[in-house]
Amino acid sequence: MKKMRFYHLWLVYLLSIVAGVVYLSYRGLKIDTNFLNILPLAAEQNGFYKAAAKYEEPFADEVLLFVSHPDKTAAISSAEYLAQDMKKSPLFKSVRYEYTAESFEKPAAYFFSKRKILLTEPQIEKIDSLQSASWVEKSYTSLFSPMGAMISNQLKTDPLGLFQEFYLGLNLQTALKLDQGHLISEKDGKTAVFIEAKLNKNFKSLDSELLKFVNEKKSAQNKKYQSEVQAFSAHLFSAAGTNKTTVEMNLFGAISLILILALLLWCFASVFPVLITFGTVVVSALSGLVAVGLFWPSIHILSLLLGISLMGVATDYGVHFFSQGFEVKTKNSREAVDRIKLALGLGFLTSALGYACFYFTDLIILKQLSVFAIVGLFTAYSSVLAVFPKFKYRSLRPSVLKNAEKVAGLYRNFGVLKSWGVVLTVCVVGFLICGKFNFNDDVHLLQQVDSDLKNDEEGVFKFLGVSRVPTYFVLKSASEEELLQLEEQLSKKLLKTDSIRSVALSNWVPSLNKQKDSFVKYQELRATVLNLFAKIKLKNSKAVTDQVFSGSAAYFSVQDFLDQNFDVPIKNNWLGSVDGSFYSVLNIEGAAAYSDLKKYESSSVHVMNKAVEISDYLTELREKILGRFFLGAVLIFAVLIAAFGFKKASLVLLAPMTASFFALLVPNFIFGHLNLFNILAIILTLGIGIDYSIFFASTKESSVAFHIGVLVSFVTTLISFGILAFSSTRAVASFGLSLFLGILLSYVFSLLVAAVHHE
Amino acid sequence: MKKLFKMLLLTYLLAAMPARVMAESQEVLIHKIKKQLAEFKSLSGNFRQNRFVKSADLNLESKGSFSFNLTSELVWHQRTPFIQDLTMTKEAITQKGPDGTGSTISKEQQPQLFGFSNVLLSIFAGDVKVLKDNFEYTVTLEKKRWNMKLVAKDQLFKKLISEINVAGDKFINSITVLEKSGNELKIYFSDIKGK
Repeated sequence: MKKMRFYHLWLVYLLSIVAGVVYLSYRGLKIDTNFLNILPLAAEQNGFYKAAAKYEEPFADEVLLFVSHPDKTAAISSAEYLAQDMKKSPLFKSVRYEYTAESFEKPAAYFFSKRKILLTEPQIEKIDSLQSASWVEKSYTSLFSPMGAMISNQLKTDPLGLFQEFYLGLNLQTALKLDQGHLISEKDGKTAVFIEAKLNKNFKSLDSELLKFVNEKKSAQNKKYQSEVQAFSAHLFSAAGTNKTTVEMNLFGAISLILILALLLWCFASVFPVLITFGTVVVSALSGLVAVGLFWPSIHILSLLLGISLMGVATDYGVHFFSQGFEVKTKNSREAVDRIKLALGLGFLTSALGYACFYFTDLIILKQLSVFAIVGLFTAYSSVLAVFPKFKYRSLRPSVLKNAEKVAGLYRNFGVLKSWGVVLTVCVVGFLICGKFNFNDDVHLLQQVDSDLKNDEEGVFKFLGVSRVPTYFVLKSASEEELLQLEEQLSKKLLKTDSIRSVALSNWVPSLNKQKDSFVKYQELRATVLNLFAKIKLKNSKAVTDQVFSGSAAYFSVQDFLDQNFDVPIKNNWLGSVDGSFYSVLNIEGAAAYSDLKKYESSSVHVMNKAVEISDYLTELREKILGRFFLGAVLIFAVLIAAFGFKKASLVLLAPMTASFFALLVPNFIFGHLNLFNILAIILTLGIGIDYSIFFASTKESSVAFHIGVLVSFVTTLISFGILAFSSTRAVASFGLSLFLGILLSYVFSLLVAAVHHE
Repeated sequence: MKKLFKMLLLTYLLAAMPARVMAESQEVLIHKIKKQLAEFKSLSGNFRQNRFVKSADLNLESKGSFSFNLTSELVWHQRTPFIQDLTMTKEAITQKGPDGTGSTISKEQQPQLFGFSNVLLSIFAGDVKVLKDNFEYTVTLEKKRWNMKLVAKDQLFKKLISEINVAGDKFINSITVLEKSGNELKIYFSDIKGK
């Protein structure tokens, strides 16, 4: 009656899982794929990240292309043809390849009219340091040079040549020059024509369709014009990465599924155990997902993948149950469950305790993983207790039994196994003394970047004449004026370093304070100009001088500048109001180490480099996970002592711990360093591998059924995770290799536990 | 129909011929001038330069000597109203004042200035290619005397210069630069010796 009640309770539990799934389907559970979201952001940092996202948004949906050819005419024809094709494609919202001189002249004329309030630091220094007489002399001599046309033109606007390099200094565009209505760049004997396009974000399968389009056009243009097309867009990298990963994962998934199905079918000679085994996994994974979904509005992709991987352990529950069929001759399901419930219970308890440790961190993905794992494993274990006694065994394949006897016989030669144990212990101690683990958490090392696209990216930025510096400053202030002043202060500090140059909107639109200073400084030049005019014996010098210094200051604001709607990239640096504060971006030019830039950080200045920040975070995450791994091991040890006593508990825990150690040691030796994914692998090694030892330690005598159960569990896990070691993505390969070694050695060492225990 | 086609063809050929002949003769003439100018590896002589600045109604006159060699170095020795030496090459412009102190400007520092000095160097060297790349040209030649009118194609020159007129025979006799602003620069050469 009691058992019946438990079964009904479980059915209610199952219904609640189903209800949870329905609720989440209705409410929606977002899968968060943004790696930046795993960063533990303090409230004050959030504004900086929101501002950074706002800054990067216009670039995210942009495609930059260059069509190059040794002959300029051919390059232009090819670019025009391609641009027309792009215009016809629904992939693009807008395509731009024709330009007029106006787009360059308008901003230049606008700023030149404001030159008196735009004096730069070097210009102010020049005014302060140059003696009036020498400046007059220099301007006077320049007028007589055959090239003095420039100066003579400026007698009524810039008689001292102060603004001679004004246009050059504006630096509003890139290295591209306007030629025949196109922006062109000339490098390595080739003329490259620039095309800029905005993507249509609403287009379905945008990334993959864009990659297909670009590849098609590359070969078509080459065939028709012998021209070369180079394209850059974040979407192209995303498409190439997704394509490769999808192909790889489909292949790996198919291979491991076929192998596992074949193995289970061969062992149990029936589809039924296979269905039950996979059914348990599905229900467990769904329960974990529902639990996370009830606590959080979204689940991070890392928590989801690791959680579902961990639910693979639920496969083992089914395998252990059906393996009992080798010994439970009466085909009594309840007897089978009774035989395995202690081992499974201990396995569940130790794993749950281990994963509970992850909840007590400030990292959301670890909290999610903890909840997912505990709830999922509870579902799997309760399913075994409540539902499995309802199943009936089928007859087993005799050949399997025969082979199982052979496998079970392996451990009986425990003398040999003990020798292995001694050798391994010596090895571990030796490595502990001599071995040193190196970690490298650089996020670039974790992913495989398409080499063709990388070459294209380098080509595009070479033609643009822009060096890509991924680090930039995000600045925050309470008002626009204060923000401009903050930009100016930081630019001044950076200028002193000699090696770092900065680009900010305040270079063009200075703070009101600076505009006022500039105007005052400019007026100081009146006497010098009068001296020059006296020297060249200008007839109407007073009138001309008055003209030079006439006009009001006409101070202007950022909004005045933005209202002009000039086609200049610098306007993107002004981010305006975000969460009630004003933000802007200050770009870096030149070689600048991230650590050097960090020195300039304050409550209103943040250095942004996503790759470095993620890498730093991965280091932090790795260290925290490793800490929790040891804490989890201590708690598991306590449970094992209670169950088996100190000596046997030590042996049971030592097996997966030693396996985990080797799972780190070997990749460290092969690749020279380890990463977060190796550490994640040993977490699973401990969670899954300890079950093998627990199983052997919880049986009173050698049992073929237990050996078969552990062996089949071990092989299925080895297949599903081991195949990941062949991935071209370094993160997945690291995970796969460490897990392969961890699971393999956990099994080998668990045989040693069995040998010692049954001795 | 056949007759009509033949007539149309003949009309087209007759109409197109003068333009083709003219283009060919311009090409021939400019190469003749190039040949004439390139006869000497180096040149030296005197110059008188008059600059009229329209906006300030100002006339500035300077005099001195010059030397040029085919390695494309033009040295401008100004003697009045003050001493100033100017050395122009394709890479740099060096200016020295009366006290011998001076400064060098590179191409990267002031590309606009270099554009004009490059034109001067090309005129002296008879570098037809540079001139053809940057200007539309019209050449007249009468016996040994020639005139070359250059109208800028390049966007930068177009904004500043209306036209450049160069006159010469065996050597260059004068260069006149008419600026868009109404300013004018006239350089007259005399006592030229070639080696």
